[in-house]
Order: sequence, then structure tokens, then C-alpha cells
Amino acid sequence: MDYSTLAMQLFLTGIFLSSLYILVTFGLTMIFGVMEIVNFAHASFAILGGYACLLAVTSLGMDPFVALVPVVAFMALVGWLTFEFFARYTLDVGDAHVVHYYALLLIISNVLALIFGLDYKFVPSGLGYSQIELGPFKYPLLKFLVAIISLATVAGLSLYLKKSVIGKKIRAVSQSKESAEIMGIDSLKIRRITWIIGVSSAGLMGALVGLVNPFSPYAGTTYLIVAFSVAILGGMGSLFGTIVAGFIIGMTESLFSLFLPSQISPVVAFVFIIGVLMVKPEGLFSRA
Amino acid sequence: MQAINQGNKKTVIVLGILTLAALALPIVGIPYQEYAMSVLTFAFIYTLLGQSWNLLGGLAKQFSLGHAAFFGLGAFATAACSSLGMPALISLAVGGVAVAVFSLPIGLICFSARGPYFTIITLAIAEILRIVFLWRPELSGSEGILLPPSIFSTRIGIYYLTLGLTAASIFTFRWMARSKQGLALVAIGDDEDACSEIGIKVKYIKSSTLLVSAGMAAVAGGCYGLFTQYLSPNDVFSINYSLEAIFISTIGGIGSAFGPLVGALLVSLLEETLNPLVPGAHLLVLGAILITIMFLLPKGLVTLFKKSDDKQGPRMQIKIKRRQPAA
Repeated sequence: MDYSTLAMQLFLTGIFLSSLYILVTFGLTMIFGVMEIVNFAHASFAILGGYACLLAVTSLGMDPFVALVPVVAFMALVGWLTFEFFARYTLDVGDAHVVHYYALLLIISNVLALIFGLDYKFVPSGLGYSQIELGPFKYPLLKFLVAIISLATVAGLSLYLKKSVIGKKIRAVSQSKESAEIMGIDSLKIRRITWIIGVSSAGLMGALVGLVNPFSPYAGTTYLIVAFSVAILGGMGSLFGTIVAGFIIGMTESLFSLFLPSQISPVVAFVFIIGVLMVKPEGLFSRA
Repeated sequence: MQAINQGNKKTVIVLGILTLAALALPIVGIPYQEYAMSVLTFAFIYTLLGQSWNLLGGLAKQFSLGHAAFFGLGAFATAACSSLGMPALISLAVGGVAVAVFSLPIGLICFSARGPYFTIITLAIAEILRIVFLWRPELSGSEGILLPPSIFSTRIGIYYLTLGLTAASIFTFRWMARSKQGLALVAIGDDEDACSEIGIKVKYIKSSTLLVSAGMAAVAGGCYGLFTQYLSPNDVFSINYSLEAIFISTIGGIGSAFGPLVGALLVSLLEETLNPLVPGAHLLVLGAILITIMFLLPKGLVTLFKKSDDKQGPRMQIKIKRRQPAA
């Protein structure tokens, strides 16, 4: 293998990892910005999305990429229910809210464990090992598609936040809840929408990961820490920061996979984040 | 004052009777004796773990999600010492001290961040340790390691050991909570910046508390290892222990000396009764109970036993709150 192929492989793998990391962090950091809640159950929503996709494919016989649509719809429903019956009551409990969300994490992952068992599962994509040719380079088609879908989702969400009225309201509440309320914005409604977007994007990420990597009810922890790493590096609540940080961490992890055995590659992100927090406790691109 | 003293007297009598009952349990033959002992042994190990979290999380509101790191390290350190041929008690002590020393650099790393950021660093540290222990076969590898049998691998031995340690941990907590350091910790939990402005050495106080806390969690891990005689990184470093440490303290009563014991009894009872029926079900029930308690009794189950005249009792706070609108 010559160097240009290797570099291209690493670059594409980096893009692939980054796209998933950005997608899962997007919801996390939005929820933090708007609701001031650190959602420790975020990765469990991702795993829930993975299982929803698994059910849609194996039980209903859907094509895995078509199944993403009902999965997102289902996750939006889950988001609405968890907001109405849970999240809205945790808005004014202060720092102790982390405990509520640990409990939510515990409930979701153990409901999944009871239903699906503890074995690692993956969603059959039907694509096998087929490759896509990008000029002289080859890359697994599945990973390529997953990266495209998640990047497209992130782009769509960013555009939505930038241009639409609701998106502007979301950003307003994130900047200052009080001022936004004075301007007549219904902050509870905005928080509900943010929460639902966050949960559905996590679920989409989980379904996409499920196509590529095997997952189990407790597999969320790794993604949780990666998402936090990205969120902190980007500065909690900053969407632009999230995108930059996602690329930094994804690319670094891809680069380090050259030197490190695969089972310890997540450590890269963790060490990275500890280093960043020691030097700059508020993250690199923190909101002013 | 008299009311408080009377309340204390009653509490002392009740606690004395409970302690005697706990001491007598292995000797006096009762139905389900073995079952009760195994429930209690795990409850005591969890109490140690919960109490160690309670020191930092309960008093100073430093919500660590990485106590599994100390639990697991303690278990492996104890295992390493006993496989070198040290007696079980000494290896437990060496493990505890070693992990306590190890916690100093960890504290340096963790306490550079605050609030949710602190929680995330602690979580990351526990995960790093889990992955590294899984990766290196000389540390443990994925097969895990076995511990040589000792007097503490018997039911009675471990029961008395953990009972004694639990009592010690409760006294340690009470002593620390009432000391100058404990007051400083509570103050830090309320407002860190104000504390450092009036000259409290915030980092020193936090790190020295982490030292005790890590040692306690390590001893809990050591007891777990001595009893089960088998350790695997995926088990002892799993996030479940970090979570259970938090749940035990929060369910029982955050920042209260007996809170972890109450919480641990509940958790252990749930685990022993539900796990054989449906594996993992106890965690689900636990999550549900936790959410209920967090919303209804934010200060935990000990609130139910507390007298309203207790110094820091939550009921007193509620009373004050209720009086305000009336006045």
C-alpha cells in the first residue's frame, strides 16, 4: 500500500468517525445550551435508536436505510414523551439534575437489556463488504453512506437553526432565556422542540452506528464519553465549536489507529479531553 | 437542646439494638440465615462505596461518576498483594493506601474542572482504566484474575469484616462532616468562589477528601475481590459501580452519615431478590425508585426517620419554606 492510499484511507475513516461524533454531540450540546442540562442519558437514546432500527429491519423486513425514517419518527415520539413526563420537571433542580439523568440512563439501558438481552447485535445492512470507488481509492460503501447521511443531517440541522424562525428562537433562548422570554418567546415550547431534536438526532446516530458496529444495551458509555469530549472541546453549547471539535477528535482517533491497537483507540479521545480541560476548563470555543 | 439529646438517646438505643442484631446474625440460627448474610455483606460493601462517594458528592457536591476507578483499582491492588502471599487484611490495607496515594494525581487532574466537567473527567478516567486493564494481559486482560482463598472468602469472615468496615466508614463520615474540613466541604458545595475568596484552600480540601474517599472505595473493592475471588476489568471498572455509588447515597440521603447504609440495604435487597428472577431487573427498578425519590424526597429516605429538630434536617428547611408565604 503506498502512502497516498494510506493517507486517503485515514482521511476517509476520520471523516466517517467525525460525522457520527458530530451528529451525536449536536443534540447533547443543543440541549445543554437551551435547557442547561447535561444529558447523561443521551447515549442511551442513541442505543435505543439502534434497537429501533434493528426491529424495523429484522421484524418488519424494511430496508435499513428506509428504516431510518420511521426510526427518527419513533425517537421524536420518545423525545416528546420523555420531555412531558420527565425532562420538564428537571429544569429547575440545579446541579442535582445529573442524578435524574443517571437514573434515566439506568432505566433505558436496562429496559433494553431486559427486552433484547446483553449480547452484542448489529443491524444487517445488506451491503456486505461492497466498496465504493472514489477515483483511484476504494472505501467501504456502507461507511461512506453512513458518513454522508450524518453529515447531511448535521448540515440540515445547522441550516434549520440558522434560517428558520424556530431555529432563531432556539438560538435566542440558548443565548439568554430571560431576554428571549421578554421578547415573547415561549421558552418551554422551545425547550421541548430542542429536546425532541436532540433525542431524535441521537437515535439517528445510534441507528447509523448499529449498521457499522455491533452494540449492546450498555455500549452507550463509550459514545457518551466521546460525545462529551467533542462537546467540551467545542465548548458546551457552541454548535460551530462542535463541528470543529468533532473533526479534530475523529481525525485524531483515525490517525492514532495507525499506532495503537483498535481496542484502546477510544482512550485517545478521553486523554485528549482530560488534557483540554486541564488547560482550558471551559473548552476551546466556549460561549462568551 | 434537650429535645435533640432525647432524640439522640433514642437513636443510640435503636442503633445499638440493630448493631447487636447484626453481630449476632451469623451465630444465632434463624431461617434464611445464609441469604440474609449474603444480602447484608453486599449491602456493607455497597455502603463503603456509597459512603466514599458521599464524602465528596454529598458534602461538597462534587458529583463524581468515576468511583468505579477506585473500586476497581482497590480490588486489583488487593488481589496483587494477596497473590504475592500477603495476608488478606494486610493486602486490603496496602491496596487502600496505594489507591489513596494514586488518587492524588487524579485529584490534580479532576479538580481543575468544575460541575458537569468534573463529572465527565471522572467518568473518562474510569473508562481509561477499564480499557487499559482489558488491554494489558500483565494487568489482567479480558480473562480477569483469580484471588487465593483466605478467611474472608468464607461467608462469616467477610460478613464481620465488612460489618466492621461499614461501622468505621460511618464514624469516619460523621467525624469528617463535623470537623472543620467537613464545614469547608459544605461551604465549597454552596459556593466555591466565595470559599476561595475568604481563604479556604479549596483544592487542598477537595484533594485531601478525595484521598480518604478513594481509600474507602478501594477497600470496598478489595472486600469485593476477597469475597468473590474473581475479578474482571469489565465488572469492577464498569460504570454500574459508579452509578450505584451515587444511587446508594442519593436514595438513602445525600450528605447524611446513615444515608448510604439505608440506600445500600435497599439496593442489595433488590439485587438479591430480583436478579435471580430477571437478570438486570433490579437496576431498572432502582432507576424508577431513584427518580421517584429525587422528585418526592430530594434529601433521601433518611428524611423519613429524621426528627424535625435535627440540625440540618430537611424537614426544618421545609418548615421554614412553608412559613414564609404565611407570614
